[in-house]
Amino acid sequence: MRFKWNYDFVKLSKYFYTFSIILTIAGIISLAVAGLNYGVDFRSGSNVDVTLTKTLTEEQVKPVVDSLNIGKDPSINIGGDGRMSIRFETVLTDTQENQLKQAFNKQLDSGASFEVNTVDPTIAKELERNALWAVLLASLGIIIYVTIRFEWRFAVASVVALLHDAFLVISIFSIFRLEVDLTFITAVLTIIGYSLNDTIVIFDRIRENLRFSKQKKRGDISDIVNKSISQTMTRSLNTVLTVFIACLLLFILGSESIRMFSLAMMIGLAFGAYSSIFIASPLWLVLKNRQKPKAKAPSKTTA
Amino acid sequence: MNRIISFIVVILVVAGIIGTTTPLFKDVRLGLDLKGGFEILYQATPTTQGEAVTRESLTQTARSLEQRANALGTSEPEITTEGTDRIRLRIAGVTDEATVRKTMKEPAELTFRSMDGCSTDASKQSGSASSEKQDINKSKAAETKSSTDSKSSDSNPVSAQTEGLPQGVTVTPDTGAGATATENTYANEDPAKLYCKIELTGDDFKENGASVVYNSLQQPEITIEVKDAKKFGEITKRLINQPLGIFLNGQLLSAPTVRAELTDGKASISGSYTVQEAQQLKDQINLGALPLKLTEIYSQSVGASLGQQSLNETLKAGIVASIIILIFMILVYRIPGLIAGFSIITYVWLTIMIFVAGDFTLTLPGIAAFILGVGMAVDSNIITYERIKDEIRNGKSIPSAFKAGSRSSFGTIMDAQLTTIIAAAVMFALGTGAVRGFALVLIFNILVSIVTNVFFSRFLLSLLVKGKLVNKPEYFGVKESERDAL
Repeated sequence: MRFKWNYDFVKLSKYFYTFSIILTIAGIISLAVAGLNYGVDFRSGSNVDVTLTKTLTEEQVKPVVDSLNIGKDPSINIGGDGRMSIRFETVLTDTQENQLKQAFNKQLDSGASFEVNTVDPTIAKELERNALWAVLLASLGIIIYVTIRFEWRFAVASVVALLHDAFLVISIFSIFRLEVDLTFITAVLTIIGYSLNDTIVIFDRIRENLRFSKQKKRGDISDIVNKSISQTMTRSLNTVLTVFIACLLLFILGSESIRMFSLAMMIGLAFGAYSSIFIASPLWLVLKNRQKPKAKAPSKTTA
Repeated sequence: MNRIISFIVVILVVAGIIGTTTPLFKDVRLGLDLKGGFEILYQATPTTQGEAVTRESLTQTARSLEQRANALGTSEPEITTEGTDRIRLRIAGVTDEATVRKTMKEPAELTFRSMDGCSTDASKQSGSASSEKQDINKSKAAETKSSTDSKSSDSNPVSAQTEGLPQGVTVTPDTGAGATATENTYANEDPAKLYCKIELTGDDFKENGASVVYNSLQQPEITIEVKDAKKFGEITKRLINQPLGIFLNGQLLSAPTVRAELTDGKASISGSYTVQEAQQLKDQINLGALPLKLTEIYSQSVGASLGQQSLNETLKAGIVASIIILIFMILVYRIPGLIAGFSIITYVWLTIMIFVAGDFTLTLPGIAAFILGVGMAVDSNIITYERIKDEIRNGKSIPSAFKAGSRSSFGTIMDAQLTTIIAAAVMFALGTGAVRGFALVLIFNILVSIVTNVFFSRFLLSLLVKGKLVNKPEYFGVKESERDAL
């Protein structure tokens, strides 16, 4: 796997900025208008996942559930491979839960096993707030660390990139009405980790190339950025590919409960790789170029 | 040659350790979502309005929940307090969840009970009681009760005395040294039946009124305070020379004998308690006196078979993903790719062994973090090998390319991994439940990954390079034609 990646990434970046800004605006609109499609983790109600030992149709299940007259608006969803879920818009009491299990075992499938999830929306609100705080404080920690190890411009650019990735994944979930459950928060936080990992590797190369080169003209730094991106391209692609394979397999073969997690991870990985190449590095350059005229006066160019 | 031998020895030893210890994997403690069971999050509110939930009352309530869960015989209940007023309860492998749930929901109920006018009733109720049993019941009831109690009062001489009063009458404690035969006969007797009359309930005690003090002999005593001194005086007068059973949720904790009429609403319970026992009894009395009302705000129950199915599916996905990643690495990086594969297997093994040794609970998000950790471990290798390949292409010899590539990639890998650790550490500090578990797994995954996929894999490769076994660019996946002449 050996390609030459000699493109002018810096020049191309304005198209990618436009793309990202459009997507961000679309995300803001979608979140403002429609919000997120919250799963039962985030909505008051009960979700009963049933593992069946035989095939049942919705027509068979619906009368049994309706006859119990429990919960509000039960909706029945029959999945493949012997699974089905019944969602109630209100929280089931213990008695109702047992009623349902007994009726189900007696009338439909004696070997069925159940997984009942109940959540109060206040908990979800707290979790969301909790995650938001986690991201903001994590960003602060990252800024401090990267500023110490690199410089503040790298820190700002990497945090912009990771917030970009996190926000776009949330936007995609909002736009396509994908269900947001508890694992989604975990996924977003992991995406931030990967995006960061990816960005730091490229920044590290930029820093190294800066050290071993003389910058005379304004365009020199831009050349260094292009060179650094193309040098790390094979690694970026190979790494993203392997992690992507892992997530794809989790998505296809993994259990139902982490399917949305895997999907969010795949989207996030793609954005993560994209943002470190086309957003973070050019953004660093923009910040660096602003500093340039000032630093010209002292004989810094003789490095 | 020596290096080649050490390489082979290292590989064989590590492979041997991995092979022989793999059966230990079954000892990994599985979380609720894998093993089945249920999780409840309680919101604690004070029963009396205007009172605040204190740290102490919360931990007390949590401890009481744990005792109740243990009493039900469930395996390893996991009870943690969260924030200022939350308690999270996790019980894995529960079969009869309805019963457990109901028991857990009952508030802590503290009662002081007497046998006033009920010892005969109790015998009648337990229809099978023999006449001999009745006799002993009437005369030596005090002994039977102490034998039926499980731990706290067993063979503890207990006395009650007035506190700091001039007329303070000391009391001969019930020694609990009844004949063994008597104890056996009554071992199955329900103490709640013997002590049928409820004299005082938790509400009658002053909140946090119980405390442990030391008497002149440096022995711990528990002092208690009641709200209504008159009522307490009446009770102690009536029950002079009779035992007063202290019950928490129907379970007898202790049964001191009343020896004096106590008129100022204060009393102390003394006996040869250990400090720990005295503390425990004090906590239990205070808990009963200040019970927090628990409301279930979140609950999740998982059927075990469903959990097992989830586990199998996720494991299968992980294994398939690992195999594909290994093949990819070998195709792209050849011999180093093979070493990366071996390092990754070592990494997976070491991580699972840490789970076993540390008795950590493995959950689904944990497995997800784990499999993603494999991706990061692979990344460490890719970064290194790409660097080495670059150096080879620049015309360096294999050993010097290895040296330069390893050195320059080290800083990159460390920076990338450390920033991820920082992000995970924040998640761990701020997260709750699953997020927290995920973050923890991610952190130690990264640490293990640094050990196995940075240091160990480099060590293996260095043996091969220095042993001159890997001496052609092709072994690194670099074609001779790609090399620049120096």
